[in-house]
Amino acid sequence: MNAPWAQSSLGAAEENSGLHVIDVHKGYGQTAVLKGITLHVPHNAFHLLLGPSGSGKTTLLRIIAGFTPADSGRVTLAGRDITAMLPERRNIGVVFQNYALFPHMSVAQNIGFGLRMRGMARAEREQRIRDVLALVRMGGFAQRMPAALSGGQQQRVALARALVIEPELLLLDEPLSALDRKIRQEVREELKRIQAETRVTTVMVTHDQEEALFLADRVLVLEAGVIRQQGAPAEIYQQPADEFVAGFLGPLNVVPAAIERQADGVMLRVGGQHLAPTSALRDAIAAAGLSGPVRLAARPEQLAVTLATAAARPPDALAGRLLGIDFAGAVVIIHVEVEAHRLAILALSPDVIAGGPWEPGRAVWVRIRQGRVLPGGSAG
Amino acid sequence: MSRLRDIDAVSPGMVTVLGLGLALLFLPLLVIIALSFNASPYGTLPFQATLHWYGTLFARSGLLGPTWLSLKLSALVAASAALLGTMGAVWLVRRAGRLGAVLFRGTLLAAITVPWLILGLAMLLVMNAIGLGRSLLSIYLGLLAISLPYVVFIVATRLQAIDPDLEHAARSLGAGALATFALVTAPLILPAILSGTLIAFVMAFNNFLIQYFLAPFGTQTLPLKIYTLIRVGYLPDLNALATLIVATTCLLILLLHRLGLRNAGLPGSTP
Amino acid sequence: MASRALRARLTGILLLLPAGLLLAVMVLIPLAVLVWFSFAPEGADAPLSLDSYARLFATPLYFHLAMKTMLTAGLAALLTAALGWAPAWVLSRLAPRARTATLLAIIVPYLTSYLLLIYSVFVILGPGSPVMVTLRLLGLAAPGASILYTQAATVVMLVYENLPVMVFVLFSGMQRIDATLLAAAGSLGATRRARLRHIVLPMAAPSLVSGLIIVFVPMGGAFVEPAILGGPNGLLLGNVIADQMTRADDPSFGSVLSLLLLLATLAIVALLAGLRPALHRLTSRWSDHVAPA
Repeated sequence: MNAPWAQSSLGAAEENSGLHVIDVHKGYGQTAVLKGITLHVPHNAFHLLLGPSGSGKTTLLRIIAGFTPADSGRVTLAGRDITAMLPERRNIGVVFQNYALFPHMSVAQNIGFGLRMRGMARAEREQRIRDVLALVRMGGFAQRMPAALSGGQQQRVALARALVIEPELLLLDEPLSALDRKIRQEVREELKRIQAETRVTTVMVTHDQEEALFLADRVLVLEAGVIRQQGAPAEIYQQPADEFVAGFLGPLNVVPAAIERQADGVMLRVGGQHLAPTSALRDAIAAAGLSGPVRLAARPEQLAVTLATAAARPPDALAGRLLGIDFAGAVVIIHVEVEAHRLAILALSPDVIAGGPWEPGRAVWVRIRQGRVLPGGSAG
Repeated sequence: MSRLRDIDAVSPGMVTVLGLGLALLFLPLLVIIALSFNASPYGTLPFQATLHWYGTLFARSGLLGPTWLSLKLSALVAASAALLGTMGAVWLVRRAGRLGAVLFRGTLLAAITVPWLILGLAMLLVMNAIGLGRSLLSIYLGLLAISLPYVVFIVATRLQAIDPDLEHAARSLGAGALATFALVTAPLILPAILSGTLIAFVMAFNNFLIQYFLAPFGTQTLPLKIYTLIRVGYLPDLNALATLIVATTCLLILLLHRLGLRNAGLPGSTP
Repeated sequence: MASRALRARLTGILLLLPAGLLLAVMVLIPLAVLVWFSFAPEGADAPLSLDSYARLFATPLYFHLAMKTMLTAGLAALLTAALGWAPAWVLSRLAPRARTATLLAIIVPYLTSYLLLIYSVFVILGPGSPVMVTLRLLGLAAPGASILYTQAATVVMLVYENLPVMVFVLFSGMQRIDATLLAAAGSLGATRRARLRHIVLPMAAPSLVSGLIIVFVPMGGAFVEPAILGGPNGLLLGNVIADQMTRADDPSFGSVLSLLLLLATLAIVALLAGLRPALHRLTSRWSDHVAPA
């Protein structure tokens, strides 16, 4: 298996573009918050730092912005070493979690602040403010005070304020977390559109895996001060490097199993049942290169379940018992028990509703369509 | 059978209790205000309305000089307290280590909780030792020390409530440390600075003991003047002055309220 | 990077320096000098001695005076709390607008020069004053009678001066007692008295103790009130301290008496602060009974 977080060899042109963070360490007192972070965000890219609270992602953002110094390591932006540079010299736009709009300034004054600091003439400033307000679809709000805006509107103004200075890099610190769920989706799409339009190099921090998978062209999963995995959203979701990454990106079923090699191929044993793997699962077993005790990891949508019939159990299914069904609109989550392990299986509602009497206690057959094979650990 | 009432309602009895409490609190001041418009020079009834004593106050009363001195002194103290107190508050909230903060806060608290009788006398001992003795400079320093804490506490409270990300945002947009303070922090703490300055002014103006022990003999601030006159008993022109002072106090309080009394640090002023 | 850190440190020192210097010269050094002088009866240059303390312990008069001062201040503090309790409670139940207006009104005497307050009380308590005249007309007072120049006048003055502060402090504790708590207690069968004892009292107890401490400390150091209103027998420790320091020109003994006053005040404050848990136990005893053994 390749290690996606390993330093890729950099061409000379790549070396000078975008953001480089090189072996950054940071601790507060006895606690190490960042333990040697190295990453590269190419020019025009949209990268996402995903991690639970306490993973160090906000600290990393503050180091990049210059709000806090790193203990060791370097940060370069567009070929300049900015490690020791004051924040006001870095030309990095920041959108804060609570927006940090200056409450005593109007929307226009907020957005014009960075331009004023750059000594831009009034007429040009006003033109730029108009343009950026149009970009975030807030034209007509220029004279409002921040307190008179909704959360979503404040968010757009904060984004406009960070973009108007034409930053080398845009940093977004959990920009959606303070919004209602419904507005969040709307702003999320706006964010994607604006980033695509401006092509500004962007790093966003979030703990919400849904946001991460939707927005970024590359996701970096951070945990306990180290980068666990980085890659395209689909790649990380489908091929998580380890159980932490897999579990953090979405619900995951983990079942202890054993790989047994037989004359006609590979068989899996789960508890007392033998299972003939699907071709996708066979590939995963081959890729993992493991034998003996392992753990099978599969997302709810990678499993399939049918009601057992009077016929014998098919070789590619495990026998289990239905525990219950959670109805969630278009889809249902079916809870089953296989060899004393609880599994959650995603299915489309019409398939289940039309499929007959799904009552708790019914015998079911569970198929593992896809999955990952992880080292066995303690389970047998 | 008892009538059922809204359990949260304020009953007429409760309003009466509050009214009595307020009446008790205001009776002496109200009597003085009423008497300032009474013609009798001994405060005796019947009541005859006049503005005579206000004329006396401004024409030939010994009260105006001390009042003027007190106003000038307190204004100087308040302005100094505003400057030093704001700097101290910024240090306390943004720069101080844990030990430094505890020591600074403790000293400020001591300045307003050690009985001013003791503090004033102790200040006099030190002023005598360093050769300042009883002097206007000594009063100025003494009053500054006891009004400074109000500014520091009020401004520090406001500073703590300001999201540090506002300052970070300004820095990331290209403002240096000084520009950030001038354009972002200062406007946000200005109401607190004004509240603190007003309170410092009132504390300096009213404090008797510091003035009593540190004033040069023969120099009379208003509280010192009242102290020497009070045994004389009834003073119709003092009634007039008191009325003006209470009226000014009311205006100051309304001003403080407009500035956001929540920041004023008065006990219980957070409704 | 090092110069950046150095500059930050320098800025910090410059910010603190003026205020720090002032507080050192006008608060910390004076308090230290007080302790030093108490051991220097012969002046600052002579060797230290315990003579001033010896003089204190040889004269029971000063302990009596300290006791009298603490009792007067304690009585005044308790009276202030008793008078302030009910208005503070009503205030905490008022609608926000009325509450703010009333609070603003109560601040007026708090921010008015207390010498003016003393003067106004002096006037209304005087023999020929409207209050005394009214009382006389009602047959409640003898002609020419007044409580001026008695210990009682001092207490009245101390209570009057500190009432606004007491109301503020009590109010700030009581406003945290949510009306729904009382409603909940009522729905569980608590009568008015039970609600007072099991909800209001325990929840307001900390602010009651704070209020007592906040008014007691300046009352213990009272100087003007007894000097003007207290009459010849009404002098308190503060007056004697001022006398020793200024007129008798004995700063050493004055310092000893100042420390006596500070210690006595601190002792009472510590006692009051210690009362807090006791008060809490007293009011929560009922809930201890129902708790499983």
